Amino acid sequence: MDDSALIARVLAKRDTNAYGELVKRNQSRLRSFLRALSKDHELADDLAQESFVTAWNKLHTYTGKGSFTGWLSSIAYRTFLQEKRRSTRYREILEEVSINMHERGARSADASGEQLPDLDRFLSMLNEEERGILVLSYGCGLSHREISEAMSLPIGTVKTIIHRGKERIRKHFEI
Amino acid sequence: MTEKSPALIESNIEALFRSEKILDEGFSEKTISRIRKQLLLRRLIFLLAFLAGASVAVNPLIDLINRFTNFTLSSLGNLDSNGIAVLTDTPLPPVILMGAALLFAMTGIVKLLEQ
Repeated sequence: MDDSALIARVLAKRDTNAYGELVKRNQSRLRSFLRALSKDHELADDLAQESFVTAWNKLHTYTGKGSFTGWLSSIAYRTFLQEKRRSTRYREILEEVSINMHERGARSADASGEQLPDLDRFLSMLNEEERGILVLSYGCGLSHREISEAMSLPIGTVKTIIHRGKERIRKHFEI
Repeated sequence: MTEKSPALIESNIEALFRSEKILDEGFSEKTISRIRKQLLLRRLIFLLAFLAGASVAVNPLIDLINRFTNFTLSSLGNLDSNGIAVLTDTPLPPVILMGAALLFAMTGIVKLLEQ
């Protein structure tokens, strides 16, 4: 059964088993996206769960125009932003990440090339918007239009950020 | 350094981002059980609201039914010379108003609970 058939079943019968199948199919992508954004696995999983519950409550608003993954990502991104605004924990995590980055940067400079290129380290040097867009594009395989809808950004901005990000990745990883 | 094709660059970047699938490990089960709990809670709140509304509405409703029955019976007992029922008694306007207000409030509450 494809996603749209499952969604129709959830809407018609409020079938939690059908929704469970949708959660199973999408959990990995959504958790990866939130892990890349928040840099904290535990927090990302909490946010992913919150996003799936919100999606269940708002499923009747899904028009089926874009992909279900894109629609879920937009909910996850908004959940992440809400959490960021209210959570002091998030600020602590960011501080921790930035301290770790400095430490790791200093160590890798000492080792001069001994450390392997690390995508996480690269992503943590970007701002959230750039990080989110690159992960949705290359990690989740969403189209530019889907990303623009998910993150409520103009499609031109999404294209520019992806282009700029691609150049930085090329230089950083010597691709 | 040789220039790489855009397609190759693109596939290299995709490969860089391609991480291993995150295993479910009970995640979806936890999420669904949270949704089921939420559903149960909503049904419980709905039931409680219904019971509270019914307990408030029961007396005016019984009163309304009694008056309506009395009115129907009395009007049936007063027929004019042509055999048409004549209105001799009407239910009190406050009772009708209360019944209508209750009906209106109940539909509003039900809509609110559904949301």
